[in-house]
Amino acid sequence: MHEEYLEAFLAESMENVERLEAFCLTLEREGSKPDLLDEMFRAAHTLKGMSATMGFSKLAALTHRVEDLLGTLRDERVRLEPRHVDALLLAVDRMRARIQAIGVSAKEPDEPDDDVMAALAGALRGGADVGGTREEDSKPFANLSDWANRAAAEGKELYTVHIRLAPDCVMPGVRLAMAYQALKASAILMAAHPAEENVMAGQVEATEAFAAVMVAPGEIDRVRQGVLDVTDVSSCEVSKVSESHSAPKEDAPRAEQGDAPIEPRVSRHANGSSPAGADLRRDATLRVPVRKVDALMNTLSDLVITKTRLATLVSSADDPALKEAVERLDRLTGDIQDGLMRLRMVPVETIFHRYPRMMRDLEHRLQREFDFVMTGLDTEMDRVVLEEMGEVIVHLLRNAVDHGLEPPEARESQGKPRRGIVRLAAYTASGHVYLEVSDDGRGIDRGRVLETAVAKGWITPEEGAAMSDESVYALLFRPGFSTAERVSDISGRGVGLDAVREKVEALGGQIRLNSVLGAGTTFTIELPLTLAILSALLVSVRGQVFAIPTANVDEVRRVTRDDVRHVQERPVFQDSAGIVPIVDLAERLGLGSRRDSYPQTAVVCRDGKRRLALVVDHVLDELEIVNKPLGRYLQGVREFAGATILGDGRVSLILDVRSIANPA
Amino acid sequence: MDSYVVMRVGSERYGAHVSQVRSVERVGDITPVPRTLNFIKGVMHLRGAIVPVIDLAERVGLAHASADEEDRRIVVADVEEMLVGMLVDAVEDVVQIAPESVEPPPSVVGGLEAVYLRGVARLGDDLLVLLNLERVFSAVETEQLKQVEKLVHG
Repeated sequence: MHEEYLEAFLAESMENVERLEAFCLTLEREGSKPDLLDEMFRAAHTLKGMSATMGFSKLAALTHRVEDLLGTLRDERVRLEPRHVDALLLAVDRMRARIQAIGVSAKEPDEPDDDVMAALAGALRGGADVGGTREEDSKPFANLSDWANRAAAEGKELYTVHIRLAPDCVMPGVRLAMAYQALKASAILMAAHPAEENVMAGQVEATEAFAAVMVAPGEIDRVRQGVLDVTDVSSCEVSKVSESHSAPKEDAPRAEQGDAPIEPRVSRHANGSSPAGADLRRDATLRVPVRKVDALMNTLSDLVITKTRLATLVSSADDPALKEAVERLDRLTGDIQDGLMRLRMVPVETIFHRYPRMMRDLEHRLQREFDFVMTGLDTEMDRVVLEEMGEVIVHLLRNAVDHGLEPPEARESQGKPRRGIVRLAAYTASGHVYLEVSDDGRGIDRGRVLETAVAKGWITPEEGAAMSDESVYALLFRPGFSTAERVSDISGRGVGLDAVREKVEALGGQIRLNSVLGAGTTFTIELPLTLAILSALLVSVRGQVFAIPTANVDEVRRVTRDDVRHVQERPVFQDSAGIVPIVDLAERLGLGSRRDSYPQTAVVCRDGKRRLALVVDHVLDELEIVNKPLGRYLQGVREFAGATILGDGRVSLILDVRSIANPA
Repeated sequence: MDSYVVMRVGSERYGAHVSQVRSVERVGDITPVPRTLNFIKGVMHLRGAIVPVIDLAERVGLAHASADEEDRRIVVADVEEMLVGMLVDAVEDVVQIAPESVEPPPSVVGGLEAVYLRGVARLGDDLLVLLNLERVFSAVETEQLKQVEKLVHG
């Protein structure tokens, strides 16, 4: 095997599979078009050629069959029907799994593709094989939820197991057989893929396997250790299957796309017709641990400080050439800084591209009808934050389809368009990234939310009646809240909105929701641009310098004694836009007592719709600063969002205006 | 043989295992962080990173003895991927100590509860108290959180 070719093959073939998948969705949405089918045919053809060249004959054969079907459709020998797309998508899934497996072991897995081949042939013939074959495809694990229930009934637990062998393993078949035996030693093997009998018969050369096992509570670690003790087993991941729902992402053949027990060797991009191929290859060859970028970032900020010092020294000198050199240094440092930040940033498309397919499947499974619209795909955000958000968005999207949108008939009877809309939008504004999931469904029934909260004893009916909508919606994010009357397999995964909120807040963001009964719901996630350079106002308070992000600052103003009123004994002032509470920063931070002399300098800050006037001693400067985390050690200190290093080497704390405005 | 950095705090000598010591710095600007525990002196800047600084003397309940400003140092420890600076009166030496000559700590040594200690070793006529930095810092972390909680809930 030519290693260097393999890498390129993986990237390019995966790119073509992604293209095919995106085209399939377009095909389904917009119907048959000669141009589109041409494109699809070409993608399949390229894939076939590459696979054959590399000696992956099964993949080539599979692609050949896809090409057949596409050719037939293109030449309009048959009319496009939904089952054609189903069969194509089935094939796409299989190709992706194959390519991923090749990425792991540099070899083509041995299991036959008869099921998918039959589905494609069936679609071509116009037979009804598709539905049946689809079942077939996920057969080994189709009963997960049943088994989980059975396990629970017997006082046991059901786990899915993902076993991987070392890629250079010499006798994978034998090792897998041993791993299965290890599983059976202390667990009941419900199903396995590849099938147990094939493995035991020595007919399998795969380097990975999935299994579902039933074990006594607390035994799973022992089971896992038993498997890991088998020579050449490189990993064994177990994941508990909860009862009462079938979890499609735990289907064995698809596990590769779900929680990603397998780290994809090739990152997947939505492609459409965008020329993202170059990006894809770059991603495949440039995998840098975030901490390395962080280390470089630290060195860089040191450089920036040194540069600033140099600039200060030079400013008093009278040497034009020297000054010019320093200015040039200034620009170059800025460029490096930008470039480094961009290294950590990726467009949201890298995660979003997998949603259209998921939504398409949801639409079918839940019998909803809707258009899924994504905007702001090129919005960039920190890679790690984006990855963390992936699951959160999945949850919100499922929620929107399952609980937000009404069934088509219900919509029509209410005079709404039969087809709903689910939107996923990304955009940046004032130092934050926003992710928005919205639907035009039934909206949130305030009354029902309150009923639940009262039933849970959280509030009294009287309190409920007096609550603002905002506070009512906030109840939805409390642990233990669920208005879903039934637990469905789509959203009822025991993961509630409280878990969503927790995740968002752990990343320093926050989540809000807005809803109009009968008209729809919008979830808005606001996240900080981590590592961002932000513009900040430097203020001094009792000799200490603090930074206030200018994104939060409305204005700096003087407050005279005459301006100050008192509301419930708290000082406020009034301007044309309303009443603004005055907070003495020295007092708030425990640095000294409230200032009594006037006039005072106040920085009027904004947190959402609320305003707050922070009294400071002096406003010193406005400049670009690098936001650095305070670290685990001081994470409990809510008043500060981070720290930055000033030009003179001193550290200045960055105020978290939100926390200061909302002392918990 | 294990190497320990010998730090003087008041009249006591504490040892930190060299594998956990990232560097020893002169005391520069330390920015106080309001609303934190007293022995947290603040944060400093170390080659681009923000590092919290604790006062080891205050942490263990000792006064800085002679506290010659010139001698004071910040020992930057790297524990569980977390950098923390310890302000000490002086850094005296790096010594070799055989593991077998380390004795279990008596229940209370130099103001620190035994759980914070790896043990005690003889160093000439003196005792060297070997710190368990994981414990010292994680306990600080917990206390810090408690402190914050107290502020929050009154």
